[in-house]
Amino acid sequence: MSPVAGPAPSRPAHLSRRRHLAPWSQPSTGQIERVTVRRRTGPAPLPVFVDESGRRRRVGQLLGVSVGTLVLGYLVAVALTFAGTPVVGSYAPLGLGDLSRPAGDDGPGVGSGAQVSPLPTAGAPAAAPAVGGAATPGQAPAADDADPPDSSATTATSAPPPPSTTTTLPRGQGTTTTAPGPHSTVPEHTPTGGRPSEPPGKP
Amino acid sequence: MPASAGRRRAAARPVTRWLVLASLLVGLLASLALEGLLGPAHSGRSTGPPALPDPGRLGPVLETGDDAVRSAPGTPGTVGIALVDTGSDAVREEVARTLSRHRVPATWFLSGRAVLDDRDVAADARVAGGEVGVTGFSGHDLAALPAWRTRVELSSAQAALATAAGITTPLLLVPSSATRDRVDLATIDTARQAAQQGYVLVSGNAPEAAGEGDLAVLVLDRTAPARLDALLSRLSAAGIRPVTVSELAGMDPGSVNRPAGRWARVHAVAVTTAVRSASAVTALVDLLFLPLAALMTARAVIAVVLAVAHSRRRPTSRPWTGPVTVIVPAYNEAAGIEAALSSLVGSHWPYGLSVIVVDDGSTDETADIVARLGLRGVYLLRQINQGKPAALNAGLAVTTTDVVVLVDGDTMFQPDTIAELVAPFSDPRVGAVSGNAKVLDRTTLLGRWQHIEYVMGFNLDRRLLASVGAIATVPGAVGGFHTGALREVGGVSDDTIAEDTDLTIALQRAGWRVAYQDQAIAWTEAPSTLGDLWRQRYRWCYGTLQATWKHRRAVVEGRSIGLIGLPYALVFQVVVALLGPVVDVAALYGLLTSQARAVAMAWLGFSAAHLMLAAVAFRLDREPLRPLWAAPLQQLVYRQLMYLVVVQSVAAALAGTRLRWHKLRRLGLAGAPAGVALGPRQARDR
Repeated sequence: MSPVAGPAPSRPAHLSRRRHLAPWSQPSTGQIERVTVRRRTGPAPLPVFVDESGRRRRVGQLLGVSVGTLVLGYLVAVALTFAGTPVVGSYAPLGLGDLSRPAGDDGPGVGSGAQVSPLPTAGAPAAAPAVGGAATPGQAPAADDADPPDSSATTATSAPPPPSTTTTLPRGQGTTTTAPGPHSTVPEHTPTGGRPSEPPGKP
Repeated sequence: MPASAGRRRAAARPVTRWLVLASLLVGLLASLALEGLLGPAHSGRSTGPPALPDPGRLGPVLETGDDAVRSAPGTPGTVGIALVDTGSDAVREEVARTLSRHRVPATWFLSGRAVLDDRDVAADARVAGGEVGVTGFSGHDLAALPAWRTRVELSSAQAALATAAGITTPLLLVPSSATRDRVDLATIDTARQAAQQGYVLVSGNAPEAAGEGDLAVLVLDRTAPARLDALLSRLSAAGIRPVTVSELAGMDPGSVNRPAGRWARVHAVAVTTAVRSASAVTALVDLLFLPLAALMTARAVIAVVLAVAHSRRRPTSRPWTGPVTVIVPAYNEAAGIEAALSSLVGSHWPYGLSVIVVDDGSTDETADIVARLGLRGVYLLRQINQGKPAALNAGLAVTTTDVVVLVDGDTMFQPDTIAELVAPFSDPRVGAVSGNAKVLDRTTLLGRWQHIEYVMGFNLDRRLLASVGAIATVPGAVGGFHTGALREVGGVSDDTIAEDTDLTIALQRAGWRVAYQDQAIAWTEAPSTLGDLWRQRYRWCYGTLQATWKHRRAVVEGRSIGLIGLPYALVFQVVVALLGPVVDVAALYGLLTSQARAVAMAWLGFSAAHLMLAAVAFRLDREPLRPLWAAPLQQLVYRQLMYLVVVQSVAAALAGTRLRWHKLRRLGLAGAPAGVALGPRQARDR
């Protein structure tokens, strides 16, 4: 309803226009005029934005629900990412066998050539230096002072003698050169093939 | 329509929009967290003492158990080639060319992010008989991360690989495993943990030191192509065959880069979608932040400069004098009408003043009170309830003076308000004059907040807009109009529920000017409860949206109102408010991360800037500065409330919801006008 282009701003001085004074705009007599203005008749135009059919509202609702669902799905995906569920899942791709069992117990596979080194745990300040060269069965540095009587020695002897070089060193022991780890712990292999105790480290 | 257009019952309370808003904000928070976790990074660390007893004796691929690490010896007569990607496309391509020139396969160690950024990387690596391993996802050194983050990194890297190339890999290489003698306890810990998820740690030697049966690990920096070329030439001369990691270690070639299973792929798509979306969302927020900050800063500076200049402006012509008609639309204003009328008839205006009270079908005794008062110069017009615009038009229909003042029924004028308000009409181009509405009750916190907001709105935004001739709203509480101008634009329209904004814009589109008189002070009652405030602002905001939309063509008409006024209102009242929650959530997240200090400083800076702006506005208005202590608190509740109002309004506008004419609760303050029905309109300060 607003005119798109108005008149020039410099219109004739509005003050010069003739003034109509209604009786009630004369200096008041204290009387109150009562004028009743009749209601507008006919249908009023709809206010801006208003959609009487409710269609836009339904579309909006649908859109809102879709967006909400989408976000919900997204949140699930984020949760899945945070969970960090492994995707790979296959263990020991080298085919060297189960690390919790002695090397060589695994039967066929490249495992026959496996080299095994003991590991320090996070608590140990430095690793036990290596025992030079490939140890032959029975030549492993004395492991018998560890808690279970024999660990790697048994392992090695029970293994079929491949062209392999298998060394199993109890951690923090049997070293002649530098300081071993502060604590000696359970050797990793038991003759019975039992599982080693859970490590204190990461889950 | 049974009653008037404005007073229809609203539809059932809409909850969808709040659920959507909440889920969007939670999604944003999740995105920021995920990006914080897996965003591009370059973390290094200093490695500890070597942990492998005899690094030289171990093979290239380490299976790490709880207590032992095991490896197979490298195949004699070969040297493995491991390439550690650093994300540089140029180097990657040059290395690939070198490989293909020598017809040599290699094992590429990629980060999950590199795979996601460039899907072809993994596929390309495999084309020439090569294979793919991972270094993690983000570029963080896995050995420097806690266990749970390592798990997330590995799983996400696999997901990236499965999505991009449909494969998995068991090969992991971390920076400290690049050369075997650098493998330390942290590396072993990481390897041990990764082993539980099926990984083997790949470890080798520098290319120059790699002998037969060894693995040459080449980090793809700028020197890499030349070093690779040198290595391959040396191997070729020595008759040693360059091979992949799996061939070197004698692994079953099929056990590396196995196809990902169906579930793994679904999982992978979910994870990569999450990671990608998080990156996109975070980038968007980052992108938003700087322009937003620049915009707000520019506005603040411009507002202060123009406002100070505007406040020093002196009238160039004599103030206008002549008879004035005041129209007071009143709907159920029984509590405040007497005070309002008393203040009006007490005006110092010797040139003739008539007051027309238009009773819009009040259901209380408003009309009776007016009649009983029998004030000199006050006239009563009654109509069946038709809404405020109709009431104003009824009053306008019987107006014969050249200048008309529109006042809300709850507003009190000072004795000089009329004189100040009509003074600019000595300029024949002026079609409307905005007064300065002030909050009456400032004893409550909510009152103080609104007081601060009004003072800032009237003294910064309004002066700014007045300086450029683009005031979008002459408040319904106190506005002077040229009667001819009002008639020219067809009176007051009821197309929108912000009839004052609608009218102001229409006048300017018709070529009339709008002035601002800061000394034309009107005291108005502000909502005293959050609920009332909400409803008032909802109406203002929705109305502003309506008026802006209705007059959208003004933008191309070349006048200030369209070029500046409407965009200003839209940007600073709507867009900024819609982005506000995003900024707040990002700040909230920042407080929980290592950036807490920076975020806190930014927040303090923002509050300080706001306080300074408020102080400037208060000085311009000669207001005591005491209530300003409440200004910083505005940042916590008030601002967010205003954001939500805008969200609600935009949602209602999109949905086509019809708004009730929101009526505020009457308070009936002793000796003061009360019962706000038709609140003032003003430019708000954000």
